[in-house]
Order: sequence, then structure tokens, then C-alpha cells
Amino acid sequence: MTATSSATVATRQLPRHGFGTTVRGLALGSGPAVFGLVAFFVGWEFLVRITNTPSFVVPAPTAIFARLIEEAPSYGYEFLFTLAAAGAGLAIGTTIGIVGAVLMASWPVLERSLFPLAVILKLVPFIAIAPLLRIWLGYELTPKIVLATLITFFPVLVNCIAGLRSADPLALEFFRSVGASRWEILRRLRWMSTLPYLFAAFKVNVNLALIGAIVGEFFGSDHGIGKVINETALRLDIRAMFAAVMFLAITGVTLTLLMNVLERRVLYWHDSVRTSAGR
Amino acid sequence: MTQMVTPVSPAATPSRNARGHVVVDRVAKTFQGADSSVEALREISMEIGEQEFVTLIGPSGCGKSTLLRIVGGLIEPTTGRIEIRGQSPSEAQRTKDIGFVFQQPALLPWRTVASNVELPFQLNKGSGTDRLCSTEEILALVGLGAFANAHPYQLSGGMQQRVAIARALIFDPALLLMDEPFGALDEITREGMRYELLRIWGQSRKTVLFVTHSIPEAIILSDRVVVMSPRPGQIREVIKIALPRPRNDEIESTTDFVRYADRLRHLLKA
Repeated sequence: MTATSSATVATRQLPRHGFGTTVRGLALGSGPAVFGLVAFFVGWEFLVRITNTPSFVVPAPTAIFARLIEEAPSYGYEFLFTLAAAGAGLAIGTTIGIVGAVLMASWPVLERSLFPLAVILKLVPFIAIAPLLRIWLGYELTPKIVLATLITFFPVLVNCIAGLRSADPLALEFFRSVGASRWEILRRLRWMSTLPYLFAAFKVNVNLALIGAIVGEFFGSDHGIGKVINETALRLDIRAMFAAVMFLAITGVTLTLLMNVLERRVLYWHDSVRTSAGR
Repeated sequence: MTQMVTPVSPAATPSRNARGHVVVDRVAKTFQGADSSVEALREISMEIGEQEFVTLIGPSGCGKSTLLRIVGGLIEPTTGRIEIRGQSPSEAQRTKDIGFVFQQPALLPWRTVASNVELPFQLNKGSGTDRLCSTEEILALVGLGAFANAHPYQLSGGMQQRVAIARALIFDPALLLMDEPFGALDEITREGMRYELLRIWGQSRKTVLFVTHSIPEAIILSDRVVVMSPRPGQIREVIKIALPRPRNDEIESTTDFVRYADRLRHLLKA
């Protein structure tokens, strides 16, 4: 059997994993979503006008967007604080989650003793903790970082444990048959098997971290988009409040889209990404 | 095509890795459950000579896969011992003298084909750098020369299994252990793969212990066939396959072949 005859047996075309390919794919695939959004806003505008709803109850989308464009620089500035707190909390929470998962997967006794503690932590409502944190830690970034950390570490912990255990058992047997050490198995097999699970947790956590930071800001903060929403609501400046919320929604959607692009690049080999790409 | 490994004849001094003398000495295995135990294997003793191709055949649940894993050091026997070229299976694992091929390819999906074949060299690096040939050569040998940079999900099942075979051969193990490697393939691919395996084996002449429940497969591939009884697994009979090598698909219609097949069928039915 020659090399050329083997080449004709190729079953699928080799893909290119370039950045352009995935962004373009995303742009083409998002047609229906964009249409849905536009229809939603058009419907909203229509309803407000038809019923002559006053703008301090429900503003029309055109009014909201106009105000948003006006305030965009200041909202953007404030949002940077929220983003910083959420980002730091996410980073710390993810690290704690991964380290905890690796330790718990290696020593089941640790899992039995510490996991219930993690569950208790997870069950405490964050709304209740937030004012406490503000009293203890002040009006700046620290209490929001703590809040974001508390929210984000649990999904990472749970998913990472599942991911570490999801390694292909036959691949594991192959590793053992050539004398691989536990560390090599962790590094070369278990870690990559964990990535899809970590990404699933990450996609959820990006939004959760933002929410955590914003909840913290509601209870008193020098800066942040949550502070803006709070203040505009108290002042009954409803249009500005909606504008701030809209700002948040836009950034949330953008972050999710970025996460999807990143996921396709990193997890190109995984079934979850390949089947959605239509291969 | 350049010959990449000189076939070892018994007269010449065998290379260290050509010898694969395996001893199975009164091996038994009972699996202890929470409130029950399963006797999988009862007193198995056998030997495999250097460069011999031996097949374990038996009904489902007879323990042939368990025995294979005990020989490979993946399961501890309850009693008895295994010797591979004078070493225990754990020592053979440390010196990378065992090459395993499973029923599923078990490749790493995030690596290319070439990277998957190279994997054994990134594990247990302290065991030396024995290498059968270059990655390109071994991929050419298994018929996948054009697919070095493809990923496993782009290959068919048969092609993936060939990568797994390449991966198990590349570090020149003394012993090749194969657990129904063609079991997950369709019948047509399976029949082709048997002769492919013989061709590949002919180039490197490793000692092989092969598990199957296909009678024709056992006869085509082996020098000897070990027939196992249902659980608890014991050796029922060992049949020497005296068909000449190299073998091609014409032997399937010879009278000797049919006689062996009848004999095996009879042994497996009772």
C-alpha cells in the first residue's frame, strides 16, 4: 500500500484553525440572533409609543440608546472598576478551584473533609454577605473581589474534579503501561481532559463574576457600573438607569462572544465544539 | 521501500528487544467486591517463546482480557507470577518493554497523529531511548504516511487503530499485548487489518500476546492458540497452528485452515 492510495482514503478535509475562520463563522452564524434582537427592540419601541408610556416608567429604546451614547465615556470609566474587581475575583476563584480540585482528586480524604465546607460556602446568599463585606472591607475594590471570588470558585472546583476524572480509561492504561508517573499522567492526560469542563465553568463564571462585583457595588461603592445603576435608580433617572443596564448587557454579550471564539480555538479537538461547528 | 528493521533470525545474535520470553506461572485472579467475589482466573500457566505470536481465545467473560492485563502489569494477580524476559511486569513497564493496543484506539484527541505516536518518548524518560525507527517510517509502515499532521477525529476507526499500533511499536518493546484491537471495526476493515498486522509484525517480529474471540482471526495470525474455558478461566487446550508464513488470504480456503477452525469451534462450544 503506497502513500498516495492512503491519501485518497482521507475521510474529512483538514480544517484551518485560523482566527479569521472562526470569527467569520461566528459572524455568519449570528444572523438569526441579530435579527431576533432587532425585532425585540423594534417591538419594544412600538409598544411604548402605542401606549404612550411615560419615560420614567419604561423608556423607549431610542431614548435609551441616545442617553447611552451620551453617557458612554463616563459609564465606560466606571465599568473599568467593575471589570477589574470581577476579573481579579475570577482569577483568584479559578485558581483556588483548580488547586482545590487537583488536591481533592489526588487525596480522596481531602475531598471528603473539605468538599462539604465548599458546599456550605456556596449556599450562603451573596446578597447577605455583601453589606458585611462592605462594612469590613470598605467602599473600594476589595469587597467586590472577595464576592466575585466566592461566587466563581465553586463551579471551577466541581467541574475541575469531574474533568480530572473524565480522562479516557484506556489512555490512562496506556500511560501506566509505559511507566508514566502520576505527575506525567496529570500533566499530559488529565489536564487536557479537564479543559472542556473548565471552559464550561468559565463561561458561566464570566457573568457570575460581573454580577458578584455589581451586587457588591449596590451596597455602597466609590465606583463601578453597579454604583451608577444604583444612583440613577435612586434619583429616578430611569432613562439613565436603563442606559447603564443596556451598557452592561452589551458588555456581557461581547464577553460571551469572545469566550466562544476562545473556546473554539482551544477546544478544536473536543466533540462539543466540533459538532456545533457542523463538522 | 527501505527496510527499516533487519528481521532477526534465530541463528544471529538476537537484539535485546527481540527476545520476549514470557512465563505465566500459576496465575489466578479473584476480584473482591463489597459483599461478593468473582473468580476470574484459576491457575493459568503458560509460556510464550521469543518472537512467537500467541492468541488467547475464549467465550465472553472467560478472563482473557484480565489475563492480558495481568501480563502487562495493569492488574495484580491474586496468586502466581509473571516473568517477562526475567523481569516482573512492573519492571518491564519501567523499562518500557510492554506495548499495549486496546479495543479502542485511546489516542489523545488534542494531539496530531505524529504527536500521538511520539507520546511514549515523553513519558518515563528515564528508561532510555530505545526507538524502532523514525516517526515518519513507522507511519509509512502502517500505511498512514500522509496523515502525520491530521488529528484523530479526522481519521476512520481503522486508521486510528493503526496509529495506536504505531504508538505501541515505536519504542521497540519486547512484548506486544493486544486486546481485541479490531473488535470495534466493521467486518471488512477487520479482515484487511489482520493481514496488515501480519505485514507490520513481519517487519519487526515482536513477541505478541493477542486476545480475540474470532476463530479465523486466531488461526490467521498465530503460531499457537490458547483456548480458554468459561469463567473461572482456565486453559482448555493449546493448539499449534502449523500453517506456513508469510500468510495471505488464500490460506483461508485450505483444508488445514478449515480443520483448525472446526477444532476451535468444537472446543469453544462445549
